[in-house]
Amino acid sequence: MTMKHSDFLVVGAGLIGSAVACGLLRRNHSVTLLDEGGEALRASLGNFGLVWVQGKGQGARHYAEWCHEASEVFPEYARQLQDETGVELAYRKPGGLTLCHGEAEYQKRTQVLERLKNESRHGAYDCSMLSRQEVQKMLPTLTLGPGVTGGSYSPHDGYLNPLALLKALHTSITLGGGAFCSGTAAINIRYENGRFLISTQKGEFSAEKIVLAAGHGITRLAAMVGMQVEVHPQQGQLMVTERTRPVLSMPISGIQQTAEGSFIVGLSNREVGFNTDTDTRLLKQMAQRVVNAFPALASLRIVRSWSSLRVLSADGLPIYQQSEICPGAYAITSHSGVTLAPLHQTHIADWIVDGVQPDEFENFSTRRFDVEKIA
Amino acid sequence: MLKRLHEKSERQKVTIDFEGVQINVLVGETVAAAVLAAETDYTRTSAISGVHRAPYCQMGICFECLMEIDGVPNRQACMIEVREGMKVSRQYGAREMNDEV
Repeated sequence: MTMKHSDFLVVGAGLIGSAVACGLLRRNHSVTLLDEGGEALRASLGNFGLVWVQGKGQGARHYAEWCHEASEVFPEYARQLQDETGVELAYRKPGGLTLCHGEAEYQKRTQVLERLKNESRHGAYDCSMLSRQEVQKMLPTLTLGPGVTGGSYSPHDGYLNPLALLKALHTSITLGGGAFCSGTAAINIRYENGRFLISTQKGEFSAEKIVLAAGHGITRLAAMVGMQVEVHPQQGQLMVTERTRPVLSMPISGIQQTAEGSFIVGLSNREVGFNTDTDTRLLKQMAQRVVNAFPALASLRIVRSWSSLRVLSADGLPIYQQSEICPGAYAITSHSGVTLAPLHQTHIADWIVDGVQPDEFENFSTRRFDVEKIA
Repeated sequence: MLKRLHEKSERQKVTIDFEGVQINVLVGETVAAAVLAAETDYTRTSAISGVHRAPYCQMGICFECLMEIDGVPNRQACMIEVREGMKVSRQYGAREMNDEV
């Protein structure tokens, strides 16, 4: 069997690996993408599709700013990707809402936003609390339930079809001349004479540099090139309703109406290891909260439900790390695969190509966890 | 055109209303099967493009067979048995939602 060589090997063809691969191809390098088989836990396929800023990055200004930067460039990014691939992303940026039920939630949300504002540069954090009447004004075609006390609004939030985004990235990779190898899980990685060798069931692949973006598989692979990258699964459950005429004009944290007219609901997080079962009691609670928010939705039938496993680091923030022992090996993981896609395709890819780490990336290094251990 | 394998069946018949036309169908068949056997050209229009669609998988998975049945929109016609006097019409585009609460 002949060894397949390319400048870069990307392990993992989810939203993160695919965005990075697109960026590497744009820099005119040869790229091979290795993707697992049907048994893979694919966070990118269970996604809710928010391009989201509000509420993110408490105590982590660098992450709040990172998400904000992504939302600023997203409209142009989506337009270009759509033009290039012909895949309709259904990206819209009408701003987003987080609804509060009852006084306690309203107070808590107010405090969260105050903290984010205080932590932001020059207090520039752009998200405001709205009264119930103001929220209702923003959603003229859907009557709020009596328990809704208000909510927070950010003009920077938006949403898209996450499956379409993944498809567009894969299309872009193919158009850009990237080699896409599906059913090709990375088994072992060796580092020899400045080169990386990855063995798979379909033979061995080699490259000057490798990017590990393998979701829950990252810990095992990173260890083979001298990196300690810890992530854990957090289960989220989602359900989707039958299609209706468009009535909800902006995404709400946990509730959105797709361009096709279905409502998607995703309001849960559970720590249940690698369990991907859905739980009827939990789905019922989610449905109840949606009906409390918008009583008219009670008439909609739910047509599917599923669960997916978020890939979270210990602090929930992205990890961008180059191996110190095997330079040229990078670990990239984040829960915000949709929101951060344009930055993964540009800044991360540039860092990997040029080898120059932007200063702000130090905050996303795994070294932050060492500091915590010492403290 | 689609034909019943058991055309000469002794099974009891019922009458349903499809788009204002009375059709005789066999007890025990699904709404989707009944309207297809009646040489129906399409059973819904797409909520996105408006193009004509008809039942496809016939086992509750693909949602191509959505119809309005007894006043309830977006029903899966392949999962519902016919009943005497049932009123069936095509699902035209996305359903409306009544926001009067």
